[in-house]
Amino acid sequence: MGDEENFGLPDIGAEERRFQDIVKGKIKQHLGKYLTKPGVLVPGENNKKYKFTIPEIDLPRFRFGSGQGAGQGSGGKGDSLGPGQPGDEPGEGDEAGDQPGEHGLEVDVTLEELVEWMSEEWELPNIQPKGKKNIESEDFHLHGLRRTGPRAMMSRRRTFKEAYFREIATGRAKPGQQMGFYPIKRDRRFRSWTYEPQPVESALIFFLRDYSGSMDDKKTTLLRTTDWILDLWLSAYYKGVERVYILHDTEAKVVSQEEYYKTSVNGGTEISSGYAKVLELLEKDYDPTDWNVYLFQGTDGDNYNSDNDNALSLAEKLLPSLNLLALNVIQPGGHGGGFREVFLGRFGAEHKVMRTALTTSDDDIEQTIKSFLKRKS
Amino acid sequence: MAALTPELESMRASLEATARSYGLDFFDTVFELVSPHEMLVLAAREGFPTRYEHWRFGMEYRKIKGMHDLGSKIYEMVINNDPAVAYLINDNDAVTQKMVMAHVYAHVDFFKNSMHFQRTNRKMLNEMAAHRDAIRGHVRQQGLETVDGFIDSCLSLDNLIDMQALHLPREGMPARIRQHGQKRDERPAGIPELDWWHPPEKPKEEDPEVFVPQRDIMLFLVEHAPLEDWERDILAMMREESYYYAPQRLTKIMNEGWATYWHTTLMRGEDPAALGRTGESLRPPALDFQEADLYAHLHSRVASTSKRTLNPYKLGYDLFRDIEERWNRGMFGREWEECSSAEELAAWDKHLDQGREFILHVRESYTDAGFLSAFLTRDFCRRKQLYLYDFNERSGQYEITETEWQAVKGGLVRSLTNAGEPIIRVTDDNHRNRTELYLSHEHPGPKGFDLRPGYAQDTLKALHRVWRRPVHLETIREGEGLLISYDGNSVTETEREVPLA
Repeated sequence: MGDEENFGLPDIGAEERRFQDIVKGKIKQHLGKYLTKPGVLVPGENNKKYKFTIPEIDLPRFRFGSGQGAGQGSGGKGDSLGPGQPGDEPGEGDEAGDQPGEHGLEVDVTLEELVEWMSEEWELPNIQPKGKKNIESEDFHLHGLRRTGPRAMMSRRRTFKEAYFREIATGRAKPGQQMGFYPIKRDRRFRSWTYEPQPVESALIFFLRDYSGSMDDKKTTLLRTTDWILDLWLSAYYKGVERVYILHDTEAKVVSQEEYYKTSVNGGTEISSGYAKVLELLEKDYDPTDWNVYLFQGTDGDNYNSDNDNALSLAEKLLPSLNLLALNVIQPGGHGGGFREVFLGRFGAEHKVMRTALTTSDDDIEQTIKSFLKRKS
Repeated sequence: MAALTPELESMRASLEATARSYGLDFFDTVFELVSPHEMLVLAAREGFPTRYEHWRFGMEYRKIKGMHDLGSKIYEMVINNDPAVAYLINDNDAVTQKMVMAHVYAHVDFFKNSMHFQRTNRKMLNEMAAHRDAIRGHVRQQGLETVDGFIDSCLSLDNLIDMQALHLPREGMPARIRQHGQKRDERPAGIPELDWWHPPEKPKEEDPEVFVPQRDIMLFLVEHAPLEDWERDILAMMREESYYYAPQRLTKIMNEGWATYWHTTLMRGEDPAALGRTGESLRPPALDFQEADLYAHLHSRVASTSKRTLNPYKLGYDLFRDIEERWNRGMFGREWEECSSAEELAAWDKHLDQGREFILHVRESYTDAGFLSAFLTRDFCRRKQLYLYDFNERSGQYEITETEWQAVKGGLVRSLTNAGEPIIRVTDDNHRNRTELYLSHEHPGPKGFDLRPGYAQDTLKALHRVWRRPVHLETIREGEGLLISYDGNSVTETEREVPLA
């Protein structure tokens, strides 16, 4: 500091980085809002930097909110000068700093940062240590004493105790008597540590997506974004996670991650087909006693009425094996099929392993994920 | 940064001589040769090479760089200082450099002669460097986050100064008050009782019991807010910088118009037709024949128009030209105004030749609002196709709302008054006898003067950060009286009776 003085230009890099940090802080704060902007997250491409376009940060001031102005050119009263941008409107319930300026500023965010922001507050609910093929990690434990070790780890209390014992043993001191003595080298005791294997919970995640004809682009995008955020977060926070992707219309099939995020619409809807597939997989490939099983299901709730009973009874069969059944009903504008109501009617809103959420727009995504992953209080 | 090359230096010397021969009167001007990148960094810091470190300059840099990458170029930058400092980009061609130099000299002439700049700190380069050092010191002691946050709060309040007090000497008051405890009745010395141009808002009789509303809210806070020393220091610095920039904000159109007028005049030489004179006494253009073509291209970029913003370079330039012509031909006064014959008007020429002399006087005395108010004529408005627009919420479009000249003029003048900032006073520092701060927005009524709601609330939060007690702002929204309050926890908006004016 202070060395460049008046000649030469001080570098602006530090201020640029500081600005970026502030911007990232802002994105973090309103993550749900920014994540759901179209084109921000491109599913299927890991380890990429994500570009967030954020409006300029405008410091709040007392200023006029009018859209009035003056211009120059040909034209008469009432002629249009082009459309306004959303948020341009005066008097809108705005928050300073969130007004889109004329130029958005692009900020690169890495996947790690992104996932970190997705918060440590979320967790897979009800997770338990399970299974033979538990993935083990090592944990650091302090225990016991050794005669050698680094000075920083020396236990003074034990060292002096040893010295005292030695003094007594050699007859230079009597128990209870206070006197001066010093620990010698062989009195020293050091704390020691070991790494202990820790059981890690293994989890099996089913992503079950409705890709029937009623799932239009908008619904599919909403659902895919939600699933993608969940997916990213899972891969960052849980190491021993196995993911299975299932698409269903009237029939269900297991697909690859890529297919899951890319395939769009198909035929009619029988939710039972999806449940049946999960049951089949649980019976065949994955033993529920070895796995924490999570089912993230997305649909617009537009099920064939004839299928409802079947779906519910299959779900009932499924529930004992599950740690969580998260039903995400996508209904832009808040209306659509009634499967959620049927579902809730059967199991009630307070079911132990079942959670439902209604996603009506981009703004709900964060809330939806929170309701699935919230910690038990 | 580097000094000028010998070629540029000889160019500069001859341009300076020509400019002075026209009657321009400027401070010595130091030109620095910078790289395009350095220019962007300088622009981000508003021209000052030494500025305190703050994230908003980083943001400015990103923004300017983005625009630069899209092809927009910053040609000219000049600091109001004595000696003035200006920057030339080292990869520009000779014609551009000439034009920029001419433009800069006119700016410096404006800085030196406009009465609104008389109280600006002419050693601002040093002052800014001092601010930087002081803020670095505070950052060392208080930490970056703390200081940055406080600067943000100060910047949110930096338009709460008294634009009408630009003419009052502020030397009497230390720019940066380092000590606590200036009492209200210890007014800074040296303020004259009445300024002929803008009467300052001063109590006629000092009565410590009566709170005198004041517009320099920044000063009020520096003097009376319960601040730590470092906070008071920063607030005072931010106020100083705000006052330094205020005259430039008040004269944007004139200043740019003036500079464009003079670079045009210097580049083209004197126009015999405009002067109504002939022959030998005319000064030659600073450009040779081949350069003229390049220059025309450059100038057209400077003077382009746009549908949704007025180009201050163009508007100011056109208006100065118009005034010059009118005062050359005597197109003013009662006789002119009462004449109703179209032919007579078209051929009007009294051979007064006072144009040049008169615009020199104009540049000394007016701010943008006064400039347009005094000289924007019906004819000018029609020829230049000026209009007002507004956002139509129903169609989601911006639409032209006014083309009638008096309405356009009124709208323009209104938008330039007080540099386009709302007029807000602090009217009570002990509201409800609880040391709560009360501000009043002087709202003339029309919806266009409504404050932006979210911004107003957040600004109150910044004000609370400084005042540390509940703060209130009285204003009008959509014709209804409104009191916005922030008590440190939540913002409340309550309806308020509007006293009939």
